[in-house]
Amino acid sequence: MAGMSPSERRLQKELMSLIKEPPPGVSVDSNIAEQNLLHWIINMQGAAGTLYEGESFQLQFKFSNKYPFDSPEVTFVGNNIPVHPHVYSNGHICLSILTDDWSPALSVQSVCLSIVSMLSSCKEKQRPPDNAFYVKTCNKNPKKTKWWYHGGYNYISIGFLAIPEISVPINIYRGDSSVGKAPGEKMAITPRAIIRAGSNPACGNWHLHRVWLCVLHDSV
Amino acid sequence: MGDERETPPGSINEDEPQVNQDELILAQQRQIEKELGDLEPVSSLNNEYSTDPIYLEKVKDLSTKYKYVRRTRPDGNCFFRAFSYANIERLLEKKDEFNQFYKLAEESKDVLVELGFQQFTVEDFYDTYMEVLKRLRNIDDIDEARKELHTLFNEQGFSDYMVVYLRLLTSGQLQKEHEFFSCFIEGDRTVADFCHQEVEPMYKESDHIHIIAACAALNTGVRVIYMDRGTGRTCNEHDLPEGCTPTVHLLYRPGHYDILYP
Repeated sequence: MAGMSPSERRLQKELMSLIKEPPPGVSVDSNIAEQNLLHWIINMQGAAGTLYEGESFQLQFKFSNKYPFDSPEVTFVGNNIPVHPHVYSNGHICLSILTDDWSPALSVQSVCLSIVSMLSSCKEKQRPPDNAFYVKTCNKNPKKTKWWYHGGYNYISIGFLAIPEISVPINIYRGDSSVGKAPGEKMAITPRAIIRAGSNPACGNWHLHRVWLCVLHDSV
Repeated sequence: MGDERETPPGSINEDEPQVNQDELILAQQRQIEKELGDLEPVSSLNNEYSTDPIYLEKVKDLSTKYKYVRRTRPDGNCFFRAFSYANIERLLEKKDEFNQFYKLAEESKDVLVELGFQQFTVEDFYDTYMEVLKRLRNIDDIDEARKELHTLFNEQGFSDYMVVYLRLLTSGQLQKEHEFFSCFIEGDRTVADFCHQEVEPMYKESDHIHIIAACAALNTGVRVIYMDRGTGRTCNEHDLPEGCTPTVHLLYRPGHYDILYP
């Protein structure tokens, strides 16, 4: 492995381990990955006994040369995007380990396992409530979307999110209805909410223009 | 991005204060290019507070106890970077303790793997961590070793690996003693959840609980000097773990840690 950068060395190790010992229902297309270590396609089978049994999906992983410090960009691709409350119809996935909770100690394998488990725990096949709007307005790269993941809170204060620079009205989507909210205003939300804000790519994550809050129906 | 085009009515012009704020932050970040700065006299802190009598008073108090401060990059990793650096730095003067520490470090990977960390991701960071310790062990002259430590910690290819490995050791410590630590975690998160969300990811800031676990993992005591706008003319001190003889001294200002030298 001489002459490889640290990220390539690490990816090469991961690729070998995934080819040798793939987790159940997961297989990497080694031809594609060997051509370009920074771009992988992974085939995933819906687990037996779940709503996705018998279905197959494709995941695309893109890595930067800062991997594993930078998280991989992971999306569903191909003609079967799983219908799931955390998966948008353009293949973007709302999963905290892909952005905020990414750690260099995670791996392609641990991401695959999280996605398998996310699909397996689904009780009702449906798209996220704000799918149409998100798909129309989001950046191609899901990492450009500022996602917030909140579980188990009954109240969320927008001001509490510590973005003092917000000075534009925020649109909050509650289920399929939308209400304008001023910064700092509190609202009650139940059961579990995901707040997502489009950030201005020119200014990194400091600059928020709009926050979405969508309530998912599948969890408490 | 599409959604910026249709700014809702009543919003302010996008080019105004927000952008300036962003530029300020970026400029500040560029200014502090080093992961860890050079030694500066404690009085250099005055420059940041020239119009703030409360802080000036506290810097004065601080300078009766400490001679120097070493600044760290304020990127959320500052505690881990500062603690790791200051600990190794003081061990350079004590060969026996250094060797003990080296032995503890050598054994640490197996402990993490036993706790369920993936072998090859841990290895990545462990190997670099050990390489840094090995390089330092092989230098006899203390000043040369100090210089090498400073160089390595300012190279991202080493520095960030040191940060990640200490984050993993801290996470391992928390999970090993999960029954004890679970009392300090708010909400219904488990210790493992907390570690995955607040300890293992880069740039997540450190709290008391991180410090206590990191101290236990490295078998080192730390004194944290708190400097904030609170009342009183002196800074508060906390030794962690309580009652220890601290060997590492850190200055805490809300949201940030730097290293102090008596």
